[in-house]
Amino acid sequence: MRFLKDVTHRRWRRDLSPFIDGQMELSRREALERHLATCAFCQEELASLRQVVALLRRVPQVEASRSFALTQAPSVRLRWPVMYGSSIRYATAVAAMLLLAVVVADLVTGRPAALAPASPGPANVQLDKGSEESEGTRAAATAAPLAGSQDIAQATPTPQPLPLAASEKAQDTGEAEVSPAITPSKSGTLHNWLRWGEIAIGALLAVLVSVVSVQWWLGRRQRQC
Amino acid sequence: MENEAQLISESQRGDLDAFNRLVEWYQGQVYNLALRMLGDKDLAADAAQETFISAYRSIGGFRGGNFRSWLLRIAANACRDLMRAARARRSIPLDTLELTPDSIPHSREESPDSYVIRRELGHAIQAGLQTLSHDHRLALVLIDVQGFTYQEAAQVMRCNVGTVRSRLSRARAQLRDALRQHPELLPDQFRL
Repeated sequence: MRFLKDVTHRRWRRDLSPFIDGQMELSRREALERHLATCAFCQEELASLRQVVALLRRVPQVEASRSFALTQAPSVRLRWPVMYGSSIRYATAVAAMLLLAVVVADLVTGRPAALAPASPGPANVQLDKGSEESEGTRAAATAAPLAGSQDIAQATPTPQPLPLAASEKAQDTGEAEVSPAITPSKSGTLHNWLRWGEIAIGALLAVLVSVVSVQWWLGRRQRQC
Repeated sequence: MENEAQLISESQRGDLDAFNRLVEWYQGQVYNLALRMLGDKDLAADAAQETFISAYRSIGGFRGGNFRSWLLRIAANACRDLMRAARARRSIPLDTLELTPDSIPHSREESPDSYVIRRELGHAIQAGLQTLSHDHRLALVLIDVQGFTYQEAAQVMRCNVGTVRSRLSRARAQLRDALRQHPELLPDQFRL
């Protein structure tokens, strides 16, 4: 029977403690007061809780067994950058060596042809030819703009890689300089990796140097204390 | 406390004397909190000392607000750490609880009987508190024993007021049930 009462009144019982301390919203407080007016069980609960609170407020204060004043200033507790100082210094040294190795590898393998500026392809050669022709036949070109535009259209295909022989021929005829076209190569991929490696290791090294600096400053502060 | 802000400021600049004045003012509250949380006066003394050492080390990080709440939060954490360390040991039974007569102030106006009753009440409450979890016990001690408001207790416990309300409600009910199970612990006029 008591168990059933507990289940039924659980919601109201939760409110009894804040009710004692005046920590309830007005509407909820009024609802509880109406319930208390008709429920002897909750009235009994409330009375027992009030008794407990009154007992707790009578608990005597105990005098401290001694004074807890500090006789000397305790040392500043080391924070983690200082606690792991040697590990961080080793990591900084390793990162610096890695960065040096990557930079040297980048310099030794050299810049690939792939990173050279884009070369004028056959379209440019043909354009040059077309321009030479137009110089000779300017009057015809102006009179026949459609033909000229066709030449230009023909002269502007998608740039294609020139075979080496063609490039040499172009040089012999004194036409516009033709340099080797862009060719994707394995060395270009390697350099991209090396470049990203330099950036990543450089960033890591910057972080580690900052941590070492903080560690040095904290250690200096501790020595001053 | 008068000039508390000034003492705090001087302590932050490394003035140990200023900090010790704060210690003298708050050590009673810190010690009593630790005693009610731990139930043992030696552990309470250790917790109180550790509290003030930690407070001195970290006072540079105090950015204003309620200094008492800040300090008692450190004390509550110190008590939790000591409780964890002592968890392997069994809880101290009531008959070994060394609340000696000298540790409870005895005024001349108080009769010996009244003094004894008060001391027995303290023993009984402490026995009941030992049955509660750390969080429930802390809520009860802060609000009903130390007189904190719900908001101050929430600052110490680093939770919201609703959580404080809930923990306090449960703690009071549990303590009442524990005291009802051992009515002989309470003086006659206080039995539930």
